[in-house]
Amino acid sequence: MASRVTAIVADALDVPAADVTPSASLIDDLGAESIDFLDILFRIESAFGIKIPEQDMWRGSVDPSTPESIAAGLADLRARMPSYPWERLPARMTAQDLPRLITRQTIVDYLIARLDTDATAEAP
Amino acid sequence: MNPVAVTGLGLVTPLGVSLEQTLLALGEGRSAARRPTMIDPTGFGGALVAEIVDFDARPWFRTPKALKLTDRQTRLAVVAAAQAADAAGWRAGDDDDLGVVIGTSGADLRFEELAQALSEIEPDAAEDTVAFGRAVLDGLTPLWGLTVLPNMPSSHVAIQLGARGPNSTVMTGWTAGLQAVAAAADWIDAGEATRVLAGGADTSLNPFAFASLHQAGMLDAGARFLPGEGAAVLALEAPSAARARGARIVGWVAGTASSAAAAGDLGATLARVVDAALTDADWVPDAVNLIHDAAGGLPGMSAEVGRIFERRFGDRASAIVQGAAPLGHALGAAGTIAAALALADAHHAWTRALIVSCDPSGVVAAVAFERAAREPDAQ
Repeated sequence: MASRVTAIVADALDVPAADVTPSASLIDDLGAESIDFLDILFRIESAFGIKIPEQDMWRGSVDPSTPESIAAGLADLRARMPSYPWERLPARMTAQDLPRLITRQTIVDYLIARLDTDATAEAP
Repeated sequence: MNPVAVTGLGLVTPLGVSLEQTLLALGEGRSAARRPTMIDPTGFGGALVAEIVDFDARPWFRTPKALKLTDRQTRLAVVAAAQAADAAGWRAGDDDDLGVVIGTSGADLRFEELAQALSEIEPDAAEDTVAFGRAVLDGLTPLWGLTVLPNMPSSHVAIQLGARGPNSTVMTGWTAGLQAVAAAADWIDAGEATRVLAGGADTSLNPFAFASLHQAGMLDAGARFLPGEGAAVLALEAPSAARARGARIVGWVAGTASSAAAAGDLGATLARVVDAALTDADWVPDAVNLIHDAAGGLPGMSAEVGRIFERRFGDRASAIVQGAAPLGHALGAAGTIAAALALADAHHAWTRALIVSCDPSGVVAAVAFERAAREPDAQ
């Protein structure tokens, strides 16, 4: 799955596949813009046969509902991604800052969870 | 109108991805006619086409990622515009004085993807138009709409070259490129821009355009019409600005005219537009010694067009009819390709040229160009 996501992201952003590391931010490291996320979302939907609400791309990592849920989600991410360059992000992050956290790994994590959920829902 | 300087030319044709390559190929007598690779000619009479083979626009894009938002016409436009700007000595970068106007006959709507999206919908889904539209769009990439919008050539030229002046698009079929040049000259003459990249970019090598040509009989064996593609962009500049920076002036836009004909009245409209362009340039017919006619490709029009030019110009002017080999017909770009080649032609001793385009719908456009050997006569 990681290789498929890498190929999609690399092609959509016109970057070498080697640059799409697990922790590379699509926005901060790979130059993704809002239109690129629409493109990547569609390509992933087509590749994996699912429909993804736009806000779900990184749900499961950080719940943007309230400042408290954002803080809790970020604390969880910091523990799981200690090598991520957290210093380049604002000290107090808002929902608008969260897309900067989207990496190849967050996409893979979402897909794994989503496909497991779909398989469970479809099981007789 | 007051003459507007031409200070650079950019050209992409099936004979070369530059002005120099195209002129060399023409000089060697080469023809672009070949069997197509971009479109399946089965069912279209096994037509030959003039196709730009192995066209790669990437080297001309400052941001190659933008290529995924571009169709063929847009890529052709960006390449030709970049060449024209470079030839004019304009440095790429944020430039509030640089305008863009590109003419094209329209995109192909990414036909294969659209057909695929439509094929996946239940036949009776069209009864609910809202649901139908949503279903079609769900099957298309979100980038589809951005790619097929007709203003994308002008937009991407502006983005890639940092042109932040006025921006527009002309979509009048085969006359679009020449009318874009006319619009740009008007902007400069009116003081709305100092410099403008203006021209045409087009391709007939997509299912919609090809089918339209076939339906009009243009691909029949006796039609002598070679479907083609290409782009030509002229760097137009206010004379005072061009002289102030010591620019090399290739030629002058001396006059323009265009009109639309009622059904069956194309010949009379052509005559009227030719006369109007001469008036705008303050020329008499005797002064014209080159005519480039992009109307000759229209079925049944060759003889009438020939008579119109004969009555006005006699045998004083050399006439070049486009539509067939060696370059084929590049639809909305045909007129500007003719203009670029004429302006760059060092071997033909012309001083005043009239470039004419006609669209099968009845739109006619003409632009009068003066050679750079002399300043145009004062108005």
